[in-house]
Amino acid sequence: MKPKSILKKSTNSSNSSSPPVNPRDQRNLDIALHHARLIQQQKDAEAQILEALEALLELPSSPQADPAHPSEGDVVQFKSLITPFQPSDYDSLIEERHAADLCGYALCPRPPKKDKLGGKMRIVPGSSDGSPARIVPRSQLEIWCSEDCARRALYVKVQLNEEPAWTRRGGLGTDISLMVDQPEAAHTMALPIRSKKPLPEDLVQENMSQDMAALALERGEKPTSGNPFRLLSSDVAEKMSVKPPVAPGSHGKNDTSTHSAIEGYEPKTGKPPIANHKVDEDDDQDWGI
Amino acid sequence: MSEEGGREALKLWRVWRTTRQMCRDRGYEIMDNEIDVSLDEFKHHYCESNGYPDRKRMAFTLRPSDAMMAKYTDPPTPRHPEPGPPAIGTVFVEFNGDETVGIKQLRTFAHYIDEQHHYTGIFIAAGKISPSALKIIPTVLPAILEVFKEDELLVNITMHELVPKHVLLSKEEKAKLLERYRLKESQLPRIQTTDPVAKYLGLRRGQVVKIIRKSETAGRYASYRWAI
Repeated sequence: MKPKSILKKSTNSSNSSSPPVNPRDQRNLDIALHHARLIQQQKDAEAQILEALEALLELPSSPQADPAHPSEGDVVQFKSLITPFQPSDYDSLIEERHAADLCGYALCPRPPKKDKLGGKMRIVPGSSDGSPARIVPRSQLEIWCSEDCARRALYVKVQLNEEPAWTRRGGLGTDISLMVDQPEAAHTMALPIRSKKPLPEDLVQENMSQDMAALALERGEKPTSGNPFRLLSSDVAEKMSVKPPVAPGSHGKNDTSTHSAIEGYEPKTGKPPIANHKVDEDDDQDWGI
Repeated sequence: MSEEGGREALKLWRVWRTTRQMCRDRGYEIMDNEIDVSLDEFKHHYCESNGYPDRKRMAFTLRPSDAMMAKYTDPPTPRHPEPGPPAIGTVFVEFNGDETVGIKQLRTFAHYIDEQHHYTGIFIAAGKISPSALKIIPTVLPAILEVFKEDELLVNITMHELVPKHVLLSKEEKAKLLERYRLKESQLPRIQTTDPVAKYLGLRRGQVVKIIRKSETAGRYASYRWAI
């Protein structure tokens, strides 16, 4: 009789081909690969941003470039490079340009302003358009070559997508516009233009009803829920005073009576004398327990 | 000599001395009398006539010692009987006096390292280092860049009594250790490569360091850390 082996049967005997893959293992492998790819994607995006940042340090292409009228090529390059940026990346670009002794705005070739004076803070005088004087840290002022460049750079920053580049979907997203040609016109354009002359009455009515309808839509009000067009009229009516106000505590018969009165109110601390007897009895019982 | 310049020289003398001690502790070839230079001698060599030290002149290059080369060489295995070249080479140390160090300075430094075929570059910055500049360090591999601030090197932290002795293990010693304790390397306790002592020794991911502590009960006590 052939001796029976006490060893376990080996799972991968030589004649069998590759063992069938456990579906759960396959699934785990897929998940791991999926996450690894995501991380790789993120790393690629970060490397791309770093590359773009380095390229932006080289801008503008000519040292005579004017930040108000950048050359066509620079603008195209700038826009394509800046698209994957987040606002925080833009901040590091500004910092990096500062380290390279350049104005924070990427299309400006001038060096940043440098103050010989010491001190941490600076007073910025109010400008003609009505902005008040401010006190700002010196380091913030020394990023830019001029106030205009600061405005141009921040104009770009507010347009950047907050979402990290590797989670963005659907291509490049919105196009970034620059503050070029007439910086004054560009940044007043967004503000509503108020005409000094009052509009005719019926036009006002029409405008207001349109505005209220838009407002109601924004608030999610239904047309049935009350009349959204009706405005509350507010009339402030002064309360008639009969006699001049009197400070508390200085009136009434308790005026001079006690020192314990708090603003005319006298807290009742003393117990009526009849109750004294009973209280004593209670105390005895308490001790007895 | 101006007061300010003298103070600057004193500071840089300390930084320079610590840097040289660091290189010695890593195993580069350097004599003790090259490290223990008095302040006057240092000023004589590296200071200009106005008393301010010249950082450019302070840069130096060192070669690894034979022991260090052996430590960084892969042990021969049956499959690869010929070990490759050691994973270490000359080191170049540069001192930079700029107020802020950005990508540009570090790129120039990396380029120089690459051009001169140095294996490791140690960049010692006087000012602050911008965060995006540090991001380029992994992009210049295989050249190894290490960035220190001057303030970090004013004193030698390994001389402090609370810092135990750290010894880097070679690959062979690491294999022996894992075999002796029947461990996988992932089962070892870890140390970050950003740890001050790990930075001092220039640890790389995957290396194992032996830490020898004083113990009241056992005299000496060794523990091991896996650098991640």
